[in-house]
Amino acid sequence: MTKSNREATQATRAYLPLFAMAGLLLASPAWAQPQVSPAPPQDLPVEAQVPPGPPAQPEPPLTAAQPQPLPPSPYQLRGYPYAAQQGAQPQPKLFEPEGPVTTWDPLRFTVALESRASWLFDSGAKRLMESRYPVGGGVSVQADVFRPNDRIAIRLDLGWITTSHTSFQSGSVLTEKLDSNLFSLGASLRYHVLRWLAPFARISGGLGWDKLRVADLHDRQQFEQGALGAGVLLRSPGLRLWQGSYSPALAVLGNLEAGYAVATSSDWVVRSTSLSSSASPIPTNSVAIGHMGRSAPYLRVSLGIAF
Amino acid sequence: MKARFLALSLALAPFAGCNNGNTDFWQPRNNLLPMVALDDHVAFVERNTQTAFLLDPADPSLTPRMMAVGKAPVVALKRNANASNPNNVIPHNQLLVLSMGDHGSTDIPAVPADLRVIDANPAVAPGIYPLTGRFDGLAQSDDGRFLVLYHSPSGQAQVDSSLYDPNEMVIVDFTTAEGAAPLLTGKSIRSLGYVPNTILFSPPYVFGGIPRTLAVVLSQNYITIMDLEHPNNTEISVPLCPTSTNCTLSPVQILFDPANQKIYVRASGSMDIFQIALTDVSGAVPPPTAPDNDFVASLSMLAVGANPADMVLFGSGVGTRIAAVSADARRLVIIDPSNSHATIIATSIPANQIIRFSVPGNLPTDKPKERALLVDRLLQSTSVLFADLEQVETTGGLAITDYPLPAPAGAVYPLMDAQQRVAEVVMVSSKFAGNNAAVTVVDLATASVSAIGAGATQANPTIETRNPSRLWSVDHGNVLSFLNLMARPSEPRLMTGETPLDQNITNIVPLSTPSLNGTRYLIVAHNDPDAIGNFTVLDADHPDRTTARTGYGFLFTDYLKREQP
Repeated sequence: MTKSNREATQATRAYLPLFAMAGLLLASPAWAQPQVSPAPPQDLPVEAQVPPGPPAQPEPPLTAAQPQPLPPSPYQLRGYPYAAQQGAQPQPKLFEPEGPVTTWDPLRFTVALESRASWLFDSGAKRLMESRYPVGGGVSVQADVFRPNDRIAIRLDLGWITTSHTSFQSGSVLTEKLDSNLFSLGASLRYHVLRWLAPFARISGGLGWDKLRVADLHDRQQFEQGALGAGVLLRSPGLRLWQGSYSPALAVLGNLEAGYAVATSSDWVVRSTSLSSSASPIPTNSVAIGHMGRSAPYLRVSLGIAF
Repeated sequence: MKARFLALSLALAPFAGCNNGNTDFWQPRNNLLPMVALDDHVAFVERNTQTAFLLDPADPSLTPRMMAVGKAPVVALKRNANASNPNNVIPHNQLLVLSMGDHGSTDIPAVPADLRVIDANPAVAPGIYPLTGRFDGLAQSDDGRFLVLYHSPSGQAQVDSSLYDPNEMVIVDFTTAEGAAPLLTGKSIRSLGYVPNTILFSPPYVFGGIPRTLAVVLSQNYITIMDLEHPNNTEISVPLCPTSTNCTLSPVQILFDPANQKIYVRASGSMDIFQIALTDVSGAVPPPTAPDNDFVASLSMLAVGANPADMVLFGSGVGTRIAAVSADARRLVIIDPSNSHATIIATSIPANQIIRFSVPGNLPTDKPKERALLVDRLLQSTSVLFADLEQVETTGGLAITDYPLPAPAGAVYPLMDAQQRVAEVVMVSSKFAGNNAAVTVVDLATASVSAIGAGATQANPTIETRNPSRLWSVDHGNVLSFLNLMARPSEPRLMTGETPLDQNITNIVPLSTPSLNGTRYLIVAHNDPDAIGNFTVLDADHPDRTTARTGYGFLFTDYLKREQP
């Protein structure tokens, strides 16, 4: 191998994962892909993969015996029609980048950005949020904790959603601000219909607190919330960062979930504590401004990286 | 088909919980009428939401009771009560709210004006009385029995009504029968070119053996007399000038003399006092029938010789006299209305206020002696005059005694004792400051003057005119000060005290009646630029910040429940 060829090969090795990732994120459905030069099945060990066509440069013979390609699983045959043809393909060379990960198995964990919109029924909540459909944002971490088979998985998620709203009274300096935070723990049961689509049902529960400020008056309320929802989980094909047995696979994963959240309601009682700098101020009364119900249907969307 | 229907129903189910109401948190900025002190409550009326907030200061939570009022409230007043009349059974711990309603538009239906009577007792249902006119003026008799609703000269009706009668009014008679519905009588009084400025109520005059209250309507150049017991009778208009040409008299003061069935009118721009004699004609043949009155009025003039600045009545029967002071001419004039004879005495100060009082005679059987205190409130005189009214006609200037003041008087407050007689006069200096001249207290019985100093400029002087009385004021913005004007249990007269509060004080309102817990409260208002409610409640008899409570933001109570206007 000449020096220039060696450098080109090294550069190709370095950039191939990026090329592959870009291509995978725009991957077309498996059944729309050409039947020539398919990628090897990604859930097989590297040693078990069949090298593709003739190498560009002669390579030293492998010292280990070449394993026979594994028979395709029914899952592969059903979900990935091209995978059934892998046995007839030439084995790829070891240094060549691996193809997209299209099975669910390596994607056990997810870190995601969350967005949640509620459909408020309670008039008090609507006025405090000044919207019928307040939207919050947050983050979550998710993990598959149990996979009895290739099609079913149970996933736990821990999330934080925050919502904040501020409004101003016309003609005065009065402001109203409501900050809401919710920590929730959820469990979902997922069924892998396709390699990129899995409907799920999810149940979650959590604790939250709201902080309300009206003019110089403020209050803080804690609440509990339970939710039952269902939706679909979408994923892109994954990509291994490097070659080897322990190489993690990365994929983009999204949730779309709708459901109903049942939460404890609050009676807001605001009070001012800033009227005096005295060490023993004159007690100030509390003001009950009204009731806020939090139970409402919701739509939850998340987008994250699975690995 | 059933499956489709079921699916559609399920899909639309969430919409059932929706409404298209306004989701804005903020309603329009509060627009409050002046705070109203009831006997043991305090009331606020918010115009935008048409809500009256009644607070019981004895309630530890200071949670207001909210009552709806009519649309566009313009007047909120405490109902009058004449506590000296033991026969007065008319409830008076009540809030009167006059609303103008809305004349409507192509998009908004018309809302009639109304008068609401809201009792401090929540068990008493509010009285709601629709009105035919959109009035913005309310006058009431001392005993709270009669109300007259009218169009004030600079009222709102002029700008948002297409056609209206400025001399239209409604007479409300609550009668003295407890629980009886009030009688509302509409009336349009005769116009002599002008509109009502002020309405005053008389003590009972007796005609045909029946006592009756008269309402005297003051208008430019004339007055109108109405018999409130017979509101459908024709009103009596009394022009103050022989001809209306070049007549620019504004009646400003009325003295009622029911014993002699006379009314005296002082008008700015006139050097005379107008005497209106009411003659009982109930015994005439044939007797007058409605709508004619059973009395007639005749006008005469009593010459003062100068513009009178103030006047009082003293004496009784044929001995009744009018004492008038003229600041311009520096004179005291005693007039015998029976013969128009006037005794004129020069005064050393340009007195513009005269305060009548009486002192006991030398012997217990002697008749009380009629005296007067003459005060100059405008031209910075440093003395006051004591006048022996009964002796002025005989001894002239010898009956007047000059007493020096440590500082010119700016405001003068007569104080009544337990027998409802003027016992003291408090004069607050015009600057309300100075080490020895902020307040002067004059004991009328002994003609002794006490001067009270102030280390700093005081503000918001507030006098409790009931016995025991106190002068409240504000020092350094947030310090509530008081001066005992009369001796109180375990507290001497002229004792002072002060209570620092947490916020600057803008208004001081002592309540007149103790709450159910036996404590009488003092309401101290604070800066409230955004009108959300801000006051502190103190024990009026023992003000102490350790027992005080601040009500801040109470106008937000149940805010989320209120509909957007």
